[in-house]
Amino acid sequence: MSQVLVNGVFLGCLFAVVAVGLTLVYGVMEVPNFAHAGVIVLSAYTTWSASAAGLPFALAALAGIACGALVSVLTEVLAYRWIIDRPAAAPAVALGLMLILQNVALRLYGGEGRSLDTPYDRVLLRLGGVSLSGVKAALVVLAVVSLLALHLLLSRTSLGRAMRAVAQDREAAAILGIPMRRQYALAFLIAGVLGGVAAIAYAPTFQVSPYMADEVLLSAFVVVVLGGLGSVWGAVAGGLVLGVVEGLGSAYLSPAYQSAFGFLLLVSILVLRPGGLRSTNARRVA
Amino acid sequence: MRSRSAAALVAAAVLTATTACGSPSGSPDSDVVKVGAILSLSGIYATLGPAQKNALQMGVEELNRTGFTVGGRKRTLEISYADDRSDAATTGVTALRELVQSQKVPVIAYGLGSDTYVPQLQRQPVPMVNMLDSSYPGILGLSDHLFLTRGASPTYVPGCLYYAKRKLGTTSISVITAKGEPYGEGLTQLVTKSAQAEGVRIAANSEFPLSSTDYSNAISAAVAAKPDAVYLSSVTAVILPVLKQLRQSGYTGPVIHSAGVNPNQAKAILGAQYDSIMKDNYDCAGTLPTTSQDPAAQAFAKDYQQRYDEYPQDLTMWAHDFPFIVAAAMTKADTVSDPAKIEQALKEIDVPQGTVSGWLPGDGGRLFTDRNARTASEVTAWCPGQDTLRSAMVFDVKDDAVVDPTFPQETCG
Repeated sequence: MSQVLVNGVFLGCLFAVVAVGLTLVYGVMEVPNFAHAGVIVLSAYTTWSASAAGLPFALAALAGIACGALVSVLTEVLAYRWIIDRPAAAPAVALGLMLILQNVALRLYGGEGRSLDTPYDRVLLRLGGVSLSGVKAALVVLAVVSLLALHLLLSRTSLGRAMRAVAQDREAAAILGIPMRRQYALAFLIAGVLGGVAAIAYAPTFQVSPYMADEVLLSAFVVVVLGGLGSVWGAVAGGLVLGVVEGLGSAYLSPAYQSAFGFLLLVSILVLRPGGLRSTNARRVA
Repeated sequence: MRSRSAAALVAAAVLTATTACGSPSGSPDSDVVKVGAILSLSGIYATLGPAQKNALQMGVEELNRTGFTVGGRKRTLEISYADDRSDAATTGVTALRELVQSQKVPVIAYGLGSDTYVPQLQRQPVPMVNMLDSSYPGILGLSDHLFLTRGASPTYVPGCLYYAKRKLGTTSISVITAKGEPYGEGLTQLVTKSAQAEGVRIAANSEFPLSSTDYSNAISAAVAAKPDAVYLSSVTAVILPVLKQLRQSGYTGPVIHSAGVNPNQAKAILGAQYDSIMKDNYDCAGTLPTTSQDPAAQAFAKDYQQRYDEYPQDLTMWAHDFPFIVAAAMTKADTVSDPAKIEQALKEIDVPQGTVSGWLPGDGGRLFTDRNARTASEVTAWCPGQDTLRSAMVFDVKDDAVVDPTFPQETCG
C-alpha cells in the first residue's frame, strides 16, 4: 500500500507540474495549449544534446529549461497572439503547433529514443518496504520547489498580481493599465519553464523521443479539468489525486487500465462538481 | 489576355504534375525493377525500421552487382521506401495504397501492421513479404498474400523457459506485458504455456498500457511476487524503458525477453548505465548474424558493422535477403510486374543464392513452407563490459518443445 501511494505521489507531481503550465496559460489567455507537449520535447532534447556535448548535467538542465521558456514564448508571439480574439481557432492552432514542434524534434534528432543520464541515476532511496529511485525522488523535489516558487511569484509580486488580475477580468485589467501582451508572454514564459522542469525531471525516468509527452499531456489536461480550469492549486490537487487514483486502481484492479481510472475519476468529478475541485465563476490564476 | 495565358500555363503545370504523380515511376517492363518497402522509420518501433532499411540497401547493392535475369534481360532492383511512423493503421495503409495504386509495385516488404493491410490486399492483391512480425497468433492466417521471412514466436519462446530453468535455475517467473501491443500479448500467452510445460511457476502477471511512460505499478506488482526471473513482453523500444525503471526500482535478478535488443540500442535508450542495466539479460529470438556459425551470416555481420557502425540484429539478415528472394521469384515467374505470378513463384522457389540468413529449407529445398521461411532460434546473453552478446543456446522447436539444443562455450571475448 505504501509503495502504491509513493508511486501515485510521483505520478501526481509529474502531472501537477505539466498541468500547472497548462492551466496558467488557460487562465490568462483561454488557450488549450497542446503545444506544451512540443515544448517539453524540445526542452528534453536540448538537455540531452547539451549533456551529450559534455556539459555537466546541471548546466544542460538549465539550457533545457531556457529552451522550454524560449519556445513557449515563441508560440505565444508567433501564433496565439494573433488569434486572441478568435478563441474558436485556438484548439486547432494549438494542435498544429504541437505537431510542428514534435516534427522539428523528429527532423533534428530522428525517431529513436535517447537516454538522458543524471548524476543520481544509481541512487535508490529505501524506507522500510518502500523504495523510490533517485530520478523519481528528484522529480518530486523539483515539482515541489517549482510550484512553491510559482506560488510566491503569483501571491507576493506585482507581476503575479497583474497576472491574476488579467485572469480574473481581461478588459478591466487593460483599463487599469496592465500591459496585456507582457502578461501573455509572461504566462507562456512561466509555462515554458515548468515544461522544461518537467522535461529534465521526467525524461531520465523514461526516454527522450518526439512523442514522449503525449500521454503525460493527456493526463495533465484531465488534471486541469479536475482541478478547475485556470486554477493553479486546483491543478496541484488534481495532479496528486489523479496520480494516487491511478496508482490504487493499478494495484488493486489492473495496471493495464491505469489511464482509464483517470478518465473514470474525471467523469465522476464532472458529474458531482462540474466546475472541478476548485470551481469558480471567474477565470483565475491562483 | 495575359490572365488567360497565365491560367493556361497554370492548368498545363497542374496537368503535368498530376500526370507525373499519378503514373508509375518505371514502365512495367523496365530494366530497373521497383518494389516497395513500408518500414517503421520513426515512432515507437523506430528501433526496427532504420536497421531494416540499411540492410535492404546492402542487399540491393549486392544483388545489383550482378543483376538478375527475367525475360532474357538483365535487371536491377530498386526499393521505394515508405515510413509508416509506427502507425500502420493510418500512415502505413496510405503508404500501401500509394505503392500499389500509384507506383504499381509488384511486391512489398514490410514490418508491422499486417491486419490493417488486409482490406487493401483484398481490393488489389499484391504479395507482401514480412521481415519482422513473429507475433502470436501468426499473421499468415490473415491473408493468402502475406509471406513471413522469420520464425514465428512459437519457434523461440519455449527456448526462453527451457534455458531459464536449466541454466539459470529459474523456478518462478514474473511477466510484465505491454497491454495493447500484439507482439507482447502473444509472447505472454506463449510464456505462460511454456512455463506450464517446463513446470516453472508464474509468480505474477502484470500489465501496463502501451502508451504509458511510467511503469511503477506494473513493476511493483511483478517484483513483489519475488520471482527468480522477470520476463518482459514487448518490442525493444517498449521494453528498454521498462527494463531501466525495473533496475532503478532495485531489482537485480535475471531479465528475459524476446525483443532483439542490440548494444547500440541499449546505449541509446538506457544511457550511461546501460552495461549494468543489461547485466543478467537474456534474449531469445532468431539467430543473430554475429553469433551465427554460418560464414555468410558472419561476413554480412562484419560488413554491416563496418558500414553502419551498428550491431546487426537478426532482422537485418532477413531484410538483407529480401532483394534476393524477390529476384528469385521474378526469375521463376518470368515477370517483373505481375503480382499474381510473382506470388505463386514465391511459394515455389528454393533458398536463393546470395542470402545470408541460414534459412532452414522446407520440403524439396523450398524457402517457404506454408508461406513461412525461417531460421534457427537462439538465446543470447549480454556480455558485461564488452558491449556485445554471446550465444547461450541454439535450438529448434517442434510440437511446442525445444529440440536439438546446443550450448556454445562462453564466448564473450
